[in-house]
Parts: sequence; structure tokens; C-alpha cells
Amino acid sequence: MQVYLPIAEVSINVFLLVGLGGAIGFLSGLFGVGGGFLMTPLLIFIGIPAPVAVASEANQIVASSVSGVIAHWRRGNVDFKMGGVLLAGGFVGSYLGVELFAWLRTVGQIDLVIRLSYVFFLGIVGAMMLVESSRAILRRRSGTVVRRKLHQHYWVHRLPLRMRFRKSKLYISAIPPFTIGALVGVLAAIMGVGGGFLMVPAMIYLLGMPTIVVVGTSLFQIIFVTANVTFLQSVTTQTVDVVLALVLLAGAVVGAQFGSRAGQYLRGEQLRGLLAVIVLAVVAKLVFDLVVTPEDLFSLGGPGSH
Amino acid sequence: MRRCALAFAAASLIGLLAAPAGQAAQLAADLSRDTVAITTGFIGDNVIFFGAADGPGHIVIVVEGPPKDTIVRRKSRVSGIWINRHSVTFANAPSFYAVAASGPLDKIVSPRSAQKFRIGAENLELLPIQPENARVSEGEASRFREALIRNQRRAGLFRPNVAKVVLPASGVRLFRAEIFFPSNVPTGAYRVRFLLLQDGFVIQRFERKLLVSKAGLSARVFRFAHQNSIWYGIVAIILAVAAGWGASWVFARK
Repeated sequence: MQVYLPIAEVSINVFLLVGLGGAIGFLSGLFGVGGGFLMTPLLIFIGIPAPVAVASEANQIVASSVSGVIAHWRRGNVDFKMGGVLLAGGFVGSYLGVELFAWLRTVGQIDLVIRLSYVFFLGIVGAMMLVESSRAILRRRSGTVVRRKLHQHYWVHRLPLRMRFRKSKLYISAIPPFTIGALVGVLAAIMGVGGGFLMVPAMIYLLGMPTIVVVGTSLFQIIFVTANVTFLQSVTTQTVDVVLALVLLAGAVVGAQFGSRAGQYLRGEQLRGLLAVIVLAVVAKLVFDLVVTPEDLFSLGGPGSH
Repeated sequence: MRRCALAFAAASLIGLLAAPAGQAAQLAADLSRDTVAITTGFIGDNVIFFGAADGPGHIVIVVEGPPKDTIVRRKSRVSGIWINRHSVTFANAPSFYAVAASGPLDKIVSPRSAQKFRIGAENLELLPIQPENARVSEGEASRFREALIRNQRRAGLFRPNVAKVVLPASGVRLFRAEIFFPSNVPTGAYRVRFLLLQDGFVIQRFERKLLVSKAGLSARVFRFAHQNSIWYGIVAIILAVAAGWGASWVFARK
């Protein structure tokens, strides 16, 4: 059964879209990432124009994040205070990111910047998580129990404006989470994703938050950042396809529920290891596309998209 | 039913032809519909082009979508990575192009007529917009021109094959052709040209318009997005939040 997408201006099989939404929604509920970094390339691959894919995906992430947050919130795994600080940074960052995006467009090569930033950030994050989680898994296997500190303290945690984050069991300066929120906001605007895949590891490794709160808190922040992106894209580029987003999220909200349930049966380091493998697979595909000689060197560009 | 209607329309066309006697050859034609309506279930559509000619000769039908400035980009390898380096913009390239003919084009159309009447994608007059600082050489332009046609064919917007014009009857000659409009067809006013050729030259022509437009829900969504974009954005967010909330509510009750 085909459905014509009014903004994308193509017709696509409904079951393909619902299935894609469900699969990505499952991962999103499992790992607390929006899944945009997987979904956007997949949508482009099945023939949705890139700007429509990016903008509609932001809209869909709003839904799956809301659904995910509620599930985590019921279990008390959302640190709203931390989420608020991250969000404040996120708004500042996404505003700057939109400006940077506009500037890169006038210079040209926005496509290349998007791809390279995907490769760079996903590559670093994926490799870091893979190393860390496999170490943790090996440690558990060998049975040597190393009593670790609750989290490590860096100099950044001792900056002024200290706040107590009860849920995260942290008493640290508000500056590092604000900065992380802002940086992720910039990248989210440029890469057209929620930014969870960057924020989750940053919260674990840089802020020292417990993994169990990280997922819900990151989803909480993503709701607002992607809602902001949806609004800005609707107003400036008219590339948000509500029909596409609704069909995707029909699958995604269901998938996210199963995902967040499945997450309870996996240990933190297993979750992180699995996410690392998926992230690195996406990086490998992107590098492959950049390096391998394309079938046709020529392509048609839409008007104005330099 | 449709066949009946077509037969009736064809009969009235013949009547039309019979009236002005004494002229060399006459051509009259029409489409099975004036509008291709893109609705939510749109998966592409066939339009039937039919008519009658009262003299001998071949029939060629050319359909062109609304013209657009089209950018063609070429990738080159820069330190191991393929990136878009050069681009050429063609002024007013048709966004859709299809030909139907009653015989092989190279047999029934002379090269001059093919060029003059833009019969066959290769004969489209695609001129590059010359940038101020650097001219596009003819060799470059022709490589980019070929790429434009190749890419549009791959997208299905330049129809890859010449559709068949069927000439079922002799005497007063009726003709009929079917052209497929795929689901990614651009909207706008299409120009349809019916040409009657003898010995490779066009001796009669007849023009019609065909409108391709969104209809029903898809038209409403599109208009809302463009005319009321602030509210569209707000509604999109509300729908997403409601859907996420609804789903978790349904699941929590289980």
C-alpha cells in the first residue's frame, strides 16, 4: 500500500515506513538516543529528499522521545534539574547552530560538512564506547571486582555555580552540563539529529552521571531541542512532512515502548557496547560512500541548495 | 465505459475534421483528462492521448513539464574523498519529458525537425547559464547536458522509452497513445504537442495543456505548510507530543 507524501512529493510503501519507524523506535527506547542518526540516512536512501528527511525526522523524534521519557519517568529515571540545565545550553547551541548552518550554506559544501561531522563525531563516540564497554564486560567476566569511585572528579566539576543534582547523585558546577548542552545543540542543528548519541556518552564520561538516569534525562532534553528544530524548519524551509512523520511515529512509539522494556534486561555496559557497534557500522557506511567512486559522478541539485 | 467515451470523443473529432474540406491534412486531438490529480493514494497515473488525422503521415506526441532552472553537479576526488566540485545550471530545462511516436524516431523525423520541435530528450535546447567570472565551454556543457538527461531518466521524469502511438484504423486515421506519469511527477502546467509528420517534416501541429496538481488531503497539507507555516510547525509538534503520550498511555494500561 503506497502513500503519497505531500511535502516530500513522492509515494512510498506505508509498511516500509512503519517498519523503519518501529525498528529505529526500538533502538531509541533501548539506548535513549533519538535514532535520527540512523533514520535520516535511511530515509534519504529510500528516496525522500534530504531536507525533508532531516526536518520530518526531527518532528518524529519529538514523539518517540515523549513516549520514551514517560516510560523512564514512571521508573523515576529522569533528572529534570540536570535536563533543564542541558536544555538551557541546548537552546543557545541550536540557535548558534542554525546561524552556522546558514553561513555554511552560503560558503557551499554544507553536505560535506554534515557527512564529515557525522564520521568524526560518530567515529570518536563509537570507538570510545566500544573500548570502555568491552573492558567493563571483560572485567566482569574475569571476576575481579574493582571497587570504583562513584564517579571521577575533574577540575571542570569544581567551577563556580555548583548545583546539587539529587537524581544523578552529583554536586558539580552547572557550567559543564550547560556547555555540553550547547555543543550538542550546535551539532544537532547542523547534523539534523536530536544529538542523543553525543549527549549520552558525554553525560556518562564527562559528567559522571549514573547510566540509569542518563537515558531518560537525555530523552527529556531531546524533546525540546527537536521540537525547536521542527518549528524552525517549518517556518524557514517548509520541509516538515507531517504525513511522513506521523507514519514513521506510528511505528516508532510502539517500538520505543518495547525498546525501553528490553533495556531493563540488559546491563549498562552491554547496552553501551551494542550501541557502539551500531554507531561504528553507520560510520563505516558513511566513509565507504565518501571514498568509493560513485556510479554517476553527476547529480541534480535542487534550486538554491548549494 | 472509458473506451466508449473515447470512441465518442474520437467520432466527434472526425466530424470536426470533415468540416473544412480541401485542406491538405488535418489534425485534431485531446487527452483522456485535463488534470492529473495527486491524491494521498497517488502511485502514478496513465494519461491517454488520442485524436485523428485525415491524411497519411506519422504522429508524434511530446509532453513537457513546467520549465525549471536545473543545477547539475559533478563530484571530483579531493584527498581521497568524493565531493561536489563543479556545477552547471541549465536555464528552463523541462521538469518532465515524454515522447510518443507511431514509428521509430530516427526513421520518421528528420534531424532538423527533431531539433526544431524538440523531439527526443537529446534534442532539447538546454543552455547553460553562464557565470560572470568563467564561461562554460561547449564540451563541458554537453557532458553536463548528458548527465542531466541521464539523471532525469533514472528518476523516471524523462520517460526512458518512446511510447507507442497506435494507429488502429485506415482511412480517417485514429490514433491513441498512453503515457505514464510517475508518483514523483512535478506539479504545474504541462505542454502537450501533437505533431503530424510527412516525409520527416512536421506539417500540422496541435497543442493542449495538461495540469498536474495535488488534490484532497495532500493538497491541503501542502497549502497549510506553505501559507500558514508557523501554525503548521505548532500543529506538527502537538501531533507528535500527543502521539507519543497516547502510545505510552496505551502501553502503561496493559
